[in-house]
Amino acid sequence: VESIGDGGGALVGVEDRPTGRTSLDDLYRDEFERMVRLAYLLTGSSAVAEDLVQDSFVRVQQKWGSIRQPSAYLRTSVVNACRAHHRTTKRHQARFPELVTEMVTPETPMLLDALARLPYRQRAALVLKFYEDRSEADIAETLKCRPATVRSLVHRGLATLRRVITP
Amino acid sequence: MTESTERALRVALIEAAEQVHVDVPPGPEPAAWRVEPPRRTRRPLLVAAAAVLAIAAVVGVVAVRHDGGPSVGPAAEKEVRSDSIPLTSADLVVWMKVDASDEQVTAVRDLLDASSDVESFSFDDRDAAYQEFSRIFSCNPDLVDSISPQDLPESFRIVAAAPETVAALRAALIGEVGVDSISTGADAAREPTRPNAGCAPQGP
Repeated sequence: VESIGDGGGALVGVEDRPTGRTSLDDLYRDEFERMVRLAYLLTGSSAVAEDLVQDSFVRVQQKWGSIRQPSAYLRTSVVNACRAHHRTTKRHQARFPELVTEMVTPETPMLLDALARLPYRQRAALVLKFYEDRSEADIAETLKCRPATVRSLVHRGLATLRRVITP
Repeated sequence: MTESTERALRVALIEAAEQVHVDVPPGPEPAAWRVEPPRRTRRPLLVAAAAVLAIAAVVGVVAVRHDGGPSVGPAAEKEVRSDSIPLTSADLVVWMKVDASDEQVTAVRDLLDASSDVESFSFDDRDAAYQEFSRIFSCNPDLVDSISPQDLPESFRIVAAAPETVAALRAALIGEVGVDSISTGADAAREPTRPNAGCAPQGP
């Protein structure tokens, strides 16, 4: 794949990209799989996850000339896309409860089952913290909230999970 | 218990994520990777400052014209999605101060959730306000670019348990730290309704 984006001064800031990662297709190669796994944890569907990540890369491509931190922008875009998907699913669930099932399956571990039932922002905060190992500041940036809110989301999410897994 | 829950969650997440088989599909054709020229630099601080001042004038417009959009997922028993309570159906609308802390917002949320005077309520976060702000000022991208969601206030829409409880509810809320003002949904809905309100007077 032709390398692009590192010429013409089109890239603005590459501070979150290690040396050598200067093109959009590098970002695609390096981040696609990880983003799909993240999206899977947020949606419960690998097919949906792949679609949302593809869409997010299109958004990154459209903004490539102006975004300062492509990886962070991509992550935020994926999390937002998952949130939009979550809302749509919830709306459909409310209207057609017999047709739209929860995302969990019989083989879903109990903890993930419980995670899937959390409000979206709590779920996202927990996944970003405990799967992606993101800092509170990063998570706050991704979820567009304050670090204190992240702490609250994590605290409340964990409290709910504890109630579920504690007999 | 907390640590064990965190450990269990971390392990469960990693194991679940590893179960997903991901074939990285070929990316779009190189020709599709069109690189747009960088956007022109934001106007200097003067515009940003003017925009922030403008917010104070349009916060009401932003708020009253918002009839849905992103919201935080319901976190309390009586909390419903932000698009569940149309403005005209809200008995009260509580505007938080722009600099209200999360704790202050949580205190209001807890008060609403615990109050027998409340039937249900919804919460509009800063992102929702920002989306509406962006829509209202779509004719002024510089202004929109100068504002972030953090510059806009959060708000609650409340449906009272009974009409006679509205006054008591208002009295209880107005004393809460972090609350900027309270209006009825009907009053808010009477605010400007013309398309692109704010664009003409707020233009550069």
